[in-house]
Amino acid sequence: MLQVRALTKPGDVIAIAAPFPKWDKGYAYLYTRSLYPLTGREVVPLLDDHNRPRPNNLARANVIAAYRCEPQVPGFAILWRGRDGMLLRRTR
Amino acid sequence: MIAEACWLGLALIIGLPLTLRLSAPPRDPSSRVGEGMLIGIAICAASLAILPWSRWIVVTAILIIAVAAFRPQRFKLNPSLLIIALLAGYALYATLAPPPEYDYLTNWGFKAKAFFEVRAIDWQLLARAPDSSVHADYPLLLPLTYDFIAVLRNGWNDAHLGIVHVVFAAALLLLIYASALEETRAQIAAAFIAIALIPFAATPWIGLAEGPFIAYATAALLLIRRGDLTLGAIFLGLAAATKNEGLTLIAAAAIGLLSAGRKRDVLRLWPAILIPLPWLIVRLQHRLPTDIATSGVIARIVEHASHPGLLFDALSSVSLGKPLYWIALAIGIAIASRTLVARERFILVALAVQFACYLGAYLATPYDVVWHVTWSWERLVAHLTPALTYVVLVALMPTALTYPTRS
Repeated sequence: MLQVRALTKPGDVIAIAAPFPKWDKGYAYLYTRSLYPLTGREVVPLLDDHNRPRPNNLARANVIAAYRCEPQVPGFAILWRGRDGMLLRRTR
Repeated sequence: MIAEACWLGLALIIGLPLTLRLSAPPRDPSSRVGEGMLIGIAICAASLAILPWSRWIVVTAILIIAVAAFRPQRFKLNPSLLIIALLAGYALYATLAPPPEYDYLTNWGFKAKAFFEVRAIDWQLLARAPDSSVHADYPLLLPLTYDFIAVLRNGWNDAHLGIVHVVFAAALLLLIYASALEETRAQIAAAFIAIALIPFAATPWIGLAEGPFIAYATAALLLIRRGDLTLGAIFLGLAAATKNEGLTLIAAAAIGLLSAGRKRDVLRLWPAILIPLPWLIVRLQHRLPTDIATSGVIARIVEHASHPGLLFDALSSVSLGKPLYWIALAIGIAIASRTLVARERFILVALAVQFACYLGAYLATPYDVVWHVTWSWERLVAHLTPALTYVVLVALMPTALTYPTRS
């Protein structure tokens, strides 16, 4: 997360991607824990608390912080890759 | 830790003279250090609600107010201040690492850090709270206290923020010692009471508002109990500016005064309402949601009340710890029951009403009751135990103080 902060700037909208299909089974913890290190950016979840995808948040995001997964999202390119995840930035 | 030390110094410089003006006699400066810290911390935090977040502006403003409030008084160093040396271990624990608590990272600390990034209270952030754990409706005294230190440092560094909780604990213990000394007129008895209350003032929840709330709430109840209404009501208001539970504590204190036959004193609690009022108004203007008050409160209360077993099972399943303490407290209450009933009606009723409000919140909760109880019950009980323990210990000792009588 510290690397995500270093590679993003205030005002960025960061979507949190993770290999957790359910809100209460890991995703909520990861998402809420990302808020503190990423203050100044708008951090948005890709799941709601009923485990439904939130494509509107993906559409708003200009950055995707992916934890232990490697999502391939059209319009995003890999900016940085680390041991526990990767960062993608919108290219178009 | 220079910024934290400067923060404490500024809080004392402004808090002590104001406390000596506000507090009822006797006004021995050295016995008012605890109250001075609590008042000073609140003024430092409040300065960020009205002033630009610039180090030199806030420091200048604090010093101007301190000079205006200052009146030369003899201040001799009181050996009771050594009591805070007993918090050395707690200070090590509190500053071992940045606050790790989940509620710090998503609520108290998160808001403070986010505000500091924009050098203002970020109303947009509160309005679109990214998660319910952010609790946009919670009052801001503690986040603004963290921000005041960040403004002094001119940068965010949470490595030593736990010192805030040590200072609140120290302030409460000094206040307790001074109060106990005035009541028992015995330094050993007062020191014993203060030391006995260290585990309650020095809360384990570093980063959360429990420690500051306990300090303000306990200080308020003890001061109101003995008739220091102005300062007590201010602390009551500051408790409400720290946690929403402080709002119900105002009502609880008023009911406690009524039950103790001190009707006129109820009106003198007006500062307690005035202090949190601006936040309540702004909160309403920005329509910041309060989870307990989300639509369907009555239906939830009826639903939960119709299945009380669920709540009782949840309450009994959460350990409050300290079994020896609870046994000792029960024995103390049994021994001093006549004194407590005769002399401590205000505090006992206020604590009972506050306790009932906490149970009411569980009935109204929109969350799973078991989940809500599991993650809050121990902290809520910790709000009430310091004042209760204090009056039981004092009741077990011969006193030399005249208590306020019925009005």
